[in-house]
Amino acid sequence: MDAREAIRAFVKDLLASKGETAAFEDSESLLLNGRLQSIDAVEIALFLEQEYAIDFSVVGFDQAQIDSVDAIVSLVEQHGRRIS
Amino acid sequence: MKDPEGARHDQEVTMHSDPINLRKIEATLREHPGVREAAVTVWEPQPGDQRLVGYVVPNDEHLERASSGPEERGQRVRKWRMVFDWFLGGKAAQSSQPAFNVGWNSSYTNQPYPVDHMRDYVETTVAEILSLGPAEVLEIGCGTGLLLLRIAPACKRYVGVDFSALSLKSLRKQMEEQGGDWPQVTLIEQTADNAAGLEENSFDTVIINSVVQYFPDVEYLQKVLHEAVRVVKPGGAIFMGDVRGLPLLEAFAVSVELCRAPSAMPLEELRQRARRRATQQEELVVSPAFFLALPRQYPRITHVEIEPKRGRFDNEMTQFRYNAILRLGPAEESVEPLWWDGLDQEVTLEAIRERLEHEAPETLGIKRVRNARVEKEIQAITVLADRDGTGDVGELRKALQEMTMRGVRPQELWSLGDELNYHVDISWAACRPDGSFDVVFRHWAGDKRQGFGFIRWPQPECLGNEPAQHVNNPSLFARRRNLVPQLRAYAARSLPHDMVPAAFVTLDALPLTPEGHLDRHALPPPEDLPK
Repeated sequence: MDAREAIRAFVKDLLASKGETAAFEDSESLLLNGRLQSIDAVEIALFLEQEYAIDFSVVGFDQAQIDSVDAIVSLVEQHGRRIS
Repeated sequence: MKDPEGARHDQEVTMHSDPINLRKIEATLREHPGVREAAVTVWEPQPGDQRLVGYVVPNDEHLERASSGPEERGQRVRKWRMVFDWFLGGKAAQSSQPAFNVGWNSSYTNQPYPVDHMRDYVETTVAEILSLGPAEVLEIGCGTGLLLLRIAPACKRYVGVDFSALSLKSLRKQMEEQGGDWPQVTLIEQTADNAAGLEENSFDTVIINSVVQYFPDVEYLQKVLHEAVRVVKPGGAIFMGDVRGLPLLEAFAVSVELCRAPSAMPLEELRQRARRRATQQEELVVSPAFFLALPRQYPRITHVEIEPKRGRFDNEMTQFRYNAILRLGPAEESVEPLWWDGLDQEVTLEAIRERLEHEAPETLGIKRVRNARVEKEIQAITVLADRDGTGDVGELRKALQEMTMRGVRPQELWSLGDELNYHVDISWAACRPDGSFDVVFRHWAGDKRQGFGFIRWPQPECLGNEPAQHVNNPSLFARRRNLVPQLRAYAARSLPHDMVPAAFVTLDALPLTPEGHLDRHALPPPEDLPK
């Protein structure tokens, strides 16, 4: 599974766990449009820390960086490395 | 067997030429302690593309028993710290007025609250705390100094505690920018449950404002309160501000979902969304009954007041949250007025004004005043129940518009008291799910610095219940949410590769036939199977 697939699967699970089962585009805003809450952003961050060794204390905290699948993929391409 | 929607329901099926025993998979899933019931079926979204789907009913008793423990609790606190650091490191912190909107986003729009709403919120909260006469203050969760910067100048000593180093850094910067000395202020980076270095009987006021919702569970809340009671001097007070109220959680959930829903959304979907929002809260939501019961455990707490929040605007803080003020002795006799029943007699603002102006009573107590701040939300719940899920959101909105709302806003009564020279106390101690409140007007006789005795407010009968019954359980929801990834890993370990479900769906209950057997045909289709 490549990074985009893995990230999309994680976001889909996160949405589904909140009863959000409608389809979503990779470019779609998830946090800023309210589909996910601020604590969900943390779930995404913890996933990226664990799976791609992204250190947010280095990268900086900004919700826009993880607001869509596209944004997360871009963040991983710039700062991540696959761990497992 | 195959139904029109593409599901196969045989107990033994053939997938990719191999026989698969669904009962064996179900039995394996049921062995997981977090699963109470399990069913497995095969979905065929495209001809020839067969996928196993597992349906599980979580075992909430096990998930509840699996006490969150310090590790999970610490993890949840860490997550919230990341949320705050996120806001402080992000664009919100670059606003021209960061103290008013950092992290204060509306649940309705996910956008920061308008500055005038936040200014009103801060001014009314500061005024309430200053009315307690604080001199030596401990603020737990001081954040970026929304309250500290305004209250500390009036104090001899002010200790601000926060778990976010970034918040404290931002606060120090603001203190420097405001100039002047702040010798009375000490800032400490630690979590709310850590009272290290805080001595017994050393503060007259403890402020815990808009923080409780980020506590992971009731045990954490109890621990924080235990320490707060320990450090407050006799005669002092604990101000628990901006607490999310459990009695109105359903009304809040309906309100947010109704605001966000398109007109064409069926009411049944609105009801399900509201139910999910209410039950899947990530934040701790507390009934006033929790605080009202505290004197039974802590005799040092001699009186508890539960006040709706003051404020000119209708927003989620003024509509659904409250302040709990815990007084620590000395004990005073409280008084109970003769009550006028506001709901029975359809009391309006005009009727109250007329009675105060014409009868000029020394004391006027009115219970069950219909609350205009949440009247529409309460009506929406009633309509949703009456319609039994038929109709759409547009029809509900129209029905609500056509209704006559007769409630009174608490702020209108405080203003009326100012105008007619009455001291006004308003209470939500009765914990009614319709949001109605009780009010007592007492005429000022001369010096407005005079004190009034405490009121014996109507209270609910459930105060003897366990504390956990007065709060929701965000940790349980988090554990329920983690169940699917856990099950995926468990199934991969416990079953042959071709028997591992491709997707899991959690349900509150498995659908049954009238005879009480599993109704596999009624299992909902999985929304999106992995490719």
